[in-house]
Amino acid sequence: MNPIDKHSKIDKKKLSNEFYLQSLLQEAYIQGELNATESQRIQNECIALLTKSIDRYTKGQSSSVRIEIAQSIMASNSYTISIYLKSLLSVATALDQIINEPIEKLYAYGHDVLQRKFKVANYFFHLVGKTKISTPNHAYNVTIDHGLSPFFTQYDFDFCAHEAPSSIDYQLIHPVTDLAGMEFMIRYLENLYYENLFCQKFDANIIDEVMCGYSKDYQDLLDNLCEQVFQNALGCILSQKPVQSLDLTRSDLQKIGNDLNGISRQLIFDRLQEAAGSTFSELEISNVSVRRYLQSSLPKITAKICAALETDTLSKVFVSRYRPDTKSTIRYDMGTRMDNNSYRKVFDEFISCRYLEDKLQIIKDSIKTLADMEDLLMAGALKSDEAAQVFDLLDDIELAVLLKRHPLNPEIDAVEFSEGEIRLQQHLDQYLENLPQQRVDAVHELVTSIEVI
Amino acid sequence: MSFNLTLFDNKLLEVQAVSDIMLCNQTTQQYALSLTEKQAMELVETRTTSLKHSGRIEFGSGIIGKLIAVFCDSPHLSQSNYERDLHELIEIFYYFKNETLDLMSDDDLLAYMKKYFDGVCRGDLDLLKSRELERIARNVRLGNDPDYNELEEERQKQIETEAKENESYR
Repeated sequence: MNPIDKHSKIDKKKLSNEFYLQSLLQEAYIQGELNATESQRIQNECIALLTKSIDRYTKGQSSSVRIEIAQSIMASNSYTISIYLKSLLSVATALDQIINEPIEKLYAYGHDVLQRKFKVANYFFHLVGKTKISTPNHAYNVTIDHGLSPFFTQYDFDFCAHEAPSSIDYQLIHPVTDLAGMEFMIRYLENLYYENLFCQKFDANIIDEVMCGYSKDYQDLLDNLCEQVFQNALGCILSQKPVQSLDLTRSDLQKIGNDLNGISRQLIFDRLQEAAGSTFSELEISNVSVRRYLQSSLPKITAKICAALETDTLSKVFVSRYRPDTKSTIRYDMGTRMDNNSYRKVFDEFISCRYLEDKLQIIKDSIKTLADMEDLLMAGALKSDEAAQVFDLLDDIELAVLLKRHPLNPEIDAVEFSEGEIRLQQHLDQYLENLPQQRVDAVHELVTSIEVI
Repeated sequence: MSFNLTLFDNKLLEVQAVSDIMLCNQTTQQYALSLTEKQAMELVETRTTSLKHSGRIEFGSGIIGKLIAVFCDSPHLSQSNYERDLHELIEIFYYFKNETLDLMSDDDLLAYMKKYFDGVCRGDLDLLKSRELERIARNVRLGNDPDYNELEEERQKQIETEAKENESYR
């Protein structure tokens, strides 16, 4: 190495990671660090290298090849040279090597670097296999079990170094977009390994429940698992719950919403950073790479939260756990409605009552099923405080059934529901707001596990 | 972003190719065949055009020298049709390199071209191209022996059957 490092005017940020050699030559030419003669010499040497590569490709049996093949081999050669140049300390050193060393030599160096990187890729592949989490997500399983292995048997160092023969369906938190071939594979495997390390801190069943809360069909989706797990972990910290539960109830979401609503994006980001720090401490994650990897997703999560706060959809960012197996354990029968004549008689008597006490007595005496109660609540034109006293007559399970059948949906109420239904939704919502938090949680818990028949 | 191969200045290679062709005259003179420098240049131009049309790229002096070496002893080539046939043979060669999906080496393809040019085609380039080489290319693509001839086989079977029938009548 030169005793004094040269300085280059080339801005490293302007160089392409995928087409490093080409972009370096281009920038060097623009900045005047490469003259026309040198440029021509490099081009001629690249063509000479291509000629040799093609001769090896055809095993000397064909003097010509299809242009696509020549272009692919040329791209492969450029990629191999780029790999070597990128391994150097600085852009100035890389440019110095291009100008002073024969291209064929740089290609040979690049080939050696690729061989070493192949071992690195293999190392990460084994780590990914070791840390694989148990999940029914098809894309995750098929990518790790079958999609990545072709790379290690089919990677072509000589003629297709810039390609990564694999079948990758599983998407990462940070998609690898600006790399190709070996570098792409290493980065993908590395990122996947970090995600696995994080997810390993949680029980597989809990992750499954979180993902079911995200979407019941997540097994067949191409969505990332770690991202949702990390978001829920942050949510747990924000709502002061144990991280490993990853459990967020509606009241937790309300709390998070109240805390974050109205504050600036920067403050939300700061809060998330603090929460991420607490998450790592609580989970005893000391691996700096994992920390950095997850922390770099915070701007994206901040943006999601800001959008969710505006649209009141925080439950899409921090999801509640959903247990598919316990979902149908409670089956609630609404009961048979009384015949029309009897109902009309009860309803007329109910509507003509002057005092609420009389109305409540009628309900106690004549309403025997929740189906009739629901009809009466919708048709009875009760005021909010009157409705609250009627709801007082109901158990948690009955409230849960009504809440399940009449959730408050202000955005679609006007077109989808009758006046009576909207009134019932609003009364129920107001009633729940005034209940003790513990009871509200219990009702919401029942809502997720009840099946109304 | 990639190096554009079509921008590559191949003037130097063309000069090299012309000189290689001129060198071939030493061998072909014994068969009373020779090319002038102008004709050699035109052959190189044909090569360039054929490569372009067939979407191929070639480095080095190319196939013309080899083609001359293989065909110069053909009984169907004379000085009068030598240059014209070479132009066509160059085009045919690159066309069938593609049609055989690059599964055949240069030497093998040239050998088959020569075999049929001298044989059943008797110097007819149309027959060579549209009948024999098409069949060979199809055979190569299907993984058959390049010489395999379905029609010939059927004709042979028919002759054998007729012969057997004639014998049974006797």
